[in-house]
Amino acid sequence: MSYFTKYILIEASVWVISFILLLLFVPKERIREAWVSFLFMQAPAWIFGLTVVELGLLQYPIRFFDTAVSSSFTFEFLAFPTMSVLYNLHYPTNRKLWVRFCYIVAYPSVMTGFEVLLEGNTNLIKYTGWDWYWSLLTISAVLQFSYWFFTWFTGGKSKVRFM
Amino acid sequence: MVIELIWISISTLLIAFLLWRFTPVEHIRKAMLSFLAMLTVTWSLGAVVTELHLMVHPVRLFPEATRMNFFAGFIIYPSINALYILHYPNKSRMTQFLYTSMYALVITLWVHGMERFTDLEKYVQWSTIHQFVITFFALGLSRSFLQWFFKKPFPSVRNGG
Repeated sequence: MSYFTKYILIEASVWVISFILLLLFVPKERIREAWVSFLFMQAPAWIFGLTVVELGLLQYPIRFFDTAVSSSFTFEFLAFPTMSVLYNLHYPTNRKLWVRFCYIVAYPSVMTGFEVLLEGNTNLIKYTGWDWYWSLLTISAVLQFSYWFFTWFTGGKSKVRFM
Repeated sequence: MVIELIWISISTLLIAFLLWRFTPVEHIRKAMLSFLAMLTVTWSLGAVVTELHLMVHPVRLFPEATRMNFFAGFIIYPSINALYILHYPNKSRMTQFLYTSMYALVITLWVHGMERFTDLEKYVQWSTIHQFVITFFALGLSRSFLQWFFKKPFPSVRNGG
């Protein structure tokens, strides 16, 4: 199997895994909350995704829609919004501070971990003026920001808390 | 380049004014979700249409990062959809059909102008008819989604936001 095919299959598997995660971890009665999270995350993901590629900080040499976009459609359209859905729906709102802190750190860490693995071993993503800690930082910030939007949207002003 | 900048500026200012003028504060959630729902549609459809080379966008925002029409897909269509959803008439089927057709027509005319006078969009294997039909169905799709979504109000609606 050529490397190209191999990488395309890895990207395709992200679609399959995302759908499985959504099916498994979105309870039917909370499907509307999931939609809010999913749709909201697409907006910052699209803008930031385009910005980092435009500035030459990141490259996605092998990707879906490689004529239409040079950024990662799969990550910005699907994978990141999916993570945001899981993040918002299972956020440990009423748990102790350290539990919330670990939760906030865990998501970006896992996502950055996967990104570093892909960067090192595939041609799906290459850092050209970027480093893993930038991913960690931006992913954390955007996930938490989206969580604030989510709590405001579903619960009103009084529900929004810093963490 | 100048005509494109003028086109973008005037369209953005106009749509910003319309949103500000015709979005009731108590329906801000509905406006936001309508915006986001259309963003998904334009992003995926835009990617397909550009990938298949049905239209090209010689002058565009983020010229290195995308060949799509980010300006129309991220700002204009989602904003118009917010207005469309917020003011959808609670009247007869015929009125609703005409209302949707009107929006699709206005959007199509705007796109036609963009295609005719600027390099923001150029049809390759595309036409005004295609544009109208796809716009009509995109509006209808988002309308069905939002109708389902707001069947039950969020707790926040009771709490007054």
